[in-house]
Amino acid sequence: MNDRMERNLFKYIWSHSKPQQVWIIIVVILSMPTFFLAFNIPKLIVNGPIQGRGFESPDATQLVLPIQIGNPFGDQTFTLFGGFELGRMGALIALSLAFLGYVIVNGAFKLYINTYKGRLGERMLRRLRYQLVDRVLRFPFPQYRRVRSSEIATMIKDEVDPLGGFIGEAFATPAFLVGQALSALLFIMLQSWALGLVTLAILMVQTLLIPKLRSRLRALALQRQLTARDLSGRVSEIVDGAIDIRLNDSTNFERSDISDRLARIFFIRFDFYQWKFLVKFINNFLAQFTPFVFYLGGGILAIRGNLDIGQLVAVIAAYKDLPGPIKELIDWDYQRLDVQVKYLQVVNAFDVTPLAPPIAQELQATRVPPLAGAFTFHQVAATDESGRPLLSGLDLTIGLDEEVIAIGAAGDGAEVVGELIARLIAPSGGSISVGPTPLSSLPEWHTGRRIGYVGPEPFFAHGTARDALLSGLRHAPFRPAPADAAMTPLIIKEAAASGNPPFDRHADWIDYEATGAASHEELASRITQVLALVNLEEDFYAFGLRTKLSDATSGDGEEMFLNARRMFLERIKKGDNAADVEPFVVTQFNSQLTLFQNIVFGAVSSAEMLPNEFPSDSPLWQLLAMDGLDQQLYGLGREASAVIVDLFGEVSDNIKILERLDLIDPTKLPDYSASLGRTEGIAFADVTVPDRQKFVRVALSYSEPRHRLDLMNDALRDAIVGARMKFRQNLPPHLASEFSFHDPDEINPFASLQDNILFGRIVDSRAGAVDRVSALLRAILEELGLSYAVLERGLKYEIGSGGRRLSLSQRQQLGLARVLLRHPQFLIVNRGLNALDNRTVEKVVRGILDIATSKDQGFGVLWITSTESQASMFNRVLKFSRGELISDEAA
Amino acid sequence: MSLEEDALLLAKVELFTNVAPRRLKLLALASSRVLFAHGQDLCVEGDEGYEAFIVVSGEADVKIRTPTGIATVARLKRNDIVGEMAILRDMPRTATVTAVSDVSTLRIGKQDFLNLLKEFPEVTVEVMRSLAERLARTTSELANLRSASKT
Repeated sequence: MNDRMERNLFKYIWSHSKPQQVWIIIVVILSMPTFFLAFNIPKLIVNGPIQGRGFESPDATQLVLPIQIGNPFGDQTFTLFGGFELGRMGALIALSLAFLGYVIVNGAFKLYINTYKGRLGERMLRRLRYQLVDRVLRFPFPQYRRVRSSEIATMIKDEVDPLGGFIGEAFATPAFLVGQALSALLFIMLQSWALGLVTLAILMVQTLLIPKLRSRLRALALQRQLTARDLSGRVSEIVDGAIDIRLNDSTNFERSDISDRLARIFFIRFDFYQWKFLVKFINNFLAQFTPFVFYLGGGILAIRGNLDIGQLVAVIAAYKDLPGPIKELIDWDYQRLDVQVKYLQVVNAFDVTPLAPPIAQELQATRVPPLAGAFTFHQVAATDESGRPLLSGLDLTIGLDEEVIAIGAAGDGAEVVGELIARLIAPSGGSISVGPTPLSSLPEWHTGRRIGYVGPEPFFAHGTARDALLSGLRHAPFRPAPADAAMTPLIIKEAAASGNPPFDRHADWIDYEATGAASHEELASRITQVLALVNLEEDFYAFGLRTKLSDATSGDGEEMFLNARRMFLERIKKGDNAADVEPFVVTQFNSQLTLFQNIVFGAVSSAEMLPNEFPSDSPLWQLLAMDGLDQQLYGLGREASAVIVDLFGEVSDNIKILERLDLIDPTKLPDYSASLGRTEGIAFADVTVPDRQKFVRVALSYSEPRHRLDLMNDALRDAIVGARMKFRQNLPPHLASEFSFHDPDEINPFASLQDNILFGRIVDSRAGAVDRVSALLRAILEELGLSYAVLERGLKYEIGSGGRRLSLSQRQQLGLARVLLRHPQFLIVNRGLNALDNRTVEKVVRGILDIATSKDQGFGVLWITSTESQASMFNRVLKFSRGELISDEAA
Repeated sequence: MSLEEDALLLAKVELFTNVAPRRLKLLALASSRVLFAHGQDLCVEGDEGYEAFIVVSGEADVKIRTPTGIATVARLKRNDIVGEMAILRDMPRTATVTAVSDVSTLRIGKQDFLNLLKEFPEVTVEVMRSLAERLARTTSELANLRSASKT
């Protein structure tokens, strides 16, 4: 099968829409008669019934709306229908109705034609875009390192867009316009050969010269497209690299680079406009040059008597119809060139060889057979893209069920073995086979399910951690989508009309069977198991405990968490470390909370309700002012600010310690300093509202164990506890839904899961409290069967684009978990955990090897690292140096 | 447990003796109070260390592993510091420190300490001075030992 893209846009369009293009031409031709007739009717109405020509006597009648076919080369006409014989009023009504009728028919034709063209264009655009993405998915691996993703995105999104509009016009429009122009020219020819030839000559000049002039426009358009694509590539590089750019103080270089590019684009575009309008000028000139010849030449001929004046007038009248279609034709031609250039540019970028053949990625909805035999390397050599040898003359056999470690520093060749088996690179010499089959001939649907490969930088699409974990299992639509979400027949039909596949995106694509889980519940335990294996369970568990309870749970889940709370409180009271948690007691001040949290004694719906965020006109201020609380808070806030300003005052930028205190924004220190000066020695009543609010906000964020400024006293604690109930009772109704209060017998939807279960806060100052409480919490959740529910909430954590909200080590662990979840027959970990500390890696390796060597679930492992620290755990140790295998020992 | 009190405590630590009181207040602000119950370990030999502790009250034993078993080499009391080297360089704990009564400590995080050094170079100079003094003392002690062993 020829897998190249068609380079000629017209051939591409024609080959995918021949019947539709022919049909549209036929419809356009059919629409012509009514189109021209409609032009004629107003003249008939004005001349006939309105001006009264032919109706000189009151009872005169005329034949209205005859149907005649005229012979353009002679005077004879054939009458098909003689017309209606009507009086003046009747004729007016009949002609007007006929006019209305033509308008409707013309409109209907236009509606049909435009809709049809539009649909045709959109289908072709959809087909083209789909084909382009399909090709991206089949690129040879090294190509992904060469292209910039945003440029590919720009091409598929923006650059092919104008093609959609053009495709519907590709054939019908020129056919129609050429027809119009030719008939006008023919009519001139019939009137006067001489003038006809002159017209033809000028027309020839116009049609030959203008496209020539426009070729420069085309070149500029091409440059414009390429520079714009380049710009989008650069901009995305700036965004991706912004952190490094700023950390290295090279922002101004980026500024100048962008300015330089914009300058280039500017001059290209400016040049483009200059040419465009120059060409327009010449074109208009040529179009008006013809009437000039008619007036002067025709006039002379007529004055000398060589040309009949009537004929000249007819020629001039006929010429009126010529420039319109010619101009449109030239415009169409320009558009053609433009989209052809764009198309070719796009095609060039996507016409990469060798593409993976479609059959290698064919959808396999059934279980794929296991690989058989062993990986056999025979005299294998590999080079990097610059041609530097990475590996030479390697002879090696690795059994599919062997557990092997390959050790070598970067560039020594160990990692190349993994990349070769994963087929990320192709050998430059020698051969690799699996059993009797060459590795390169295995389809991707086979290797992609049987071999697992984890590199040091796994990629994750935007989504939740759960999506990321399951993304390695989306092999085929295994179970159809629910009826209300499934593809409708219309959607299937349209997909087929655009050459898109009929796979249903909303079907269940998860390959449960591959995980070894028979049901949804079993999948849950597999996920837990795999996360524990890569030492990531704790992390997601902790994420889960930090989620707000309101982030989706059903009602019975809440009851379960209340149970957990009761159990927790009971056990911690019984144990030796009851003081590890300071419980939420509505009549007691909780020193682990900030003053704001103490006043609210609950949680808020969103960050906008936090003390540093709520606006200066918020009704909350009145609640805080009850019983003079604000004065006390003001005093505390002012005192805290004074200490902070005193300690940090003279250094105002980048104070990490202050940032971590989270009490005063370091960049605003001078503001606080000024406010302190203004309020020095001023009674509270005389302090301005902004200054008051500034210091009250500081006080609201204050917590004694954390900030340790020794500012709390019993009177203030009592005042705050006293304010709790008043705060609740006086909360304005529109804010009531923004707060939820701690209640020993109720779940608090806005509070974190951990706060809900502990119903208190861990006392940080007790050494080991965090660990002890976590262990107890864990044990209780385990007992209640809630562990997975918590983990699942953690897995709903949005990992960000590329997983960037996770640390590198977490990404690596998640990448490994993703591959382990689909239970590969042979696992390659190519420095896949190099961001983790040694002890953790050892634990993970041990866990994986335990399963890999087990009887029923066993699998092969190729573990590639640069250090020997894990070597003792493997059966076989390969050592690489300078591209060669220097030792191969069984342990 | 006020800031002033903690700053005074820090001033008694050899490493910080020359640092200006204002800066010590800053360090105190970045530190936190941690309570260890009787029998709890402040640190364990061989573990990575990310923090130093200054004993505020109570007592703790310093124990090291020796070929003949675990030996208690020192008893820490008020104003003694544990693990100050850990906040200056990456190294495993060289001893296990166990509370022999309830012990209240001031915990100095490695990152907070390094931030302080970065932001206030004069503090760095003073810490260096203390380290140099200690080095000089160690060197002379070593010299004494050597001359003692020769005779």
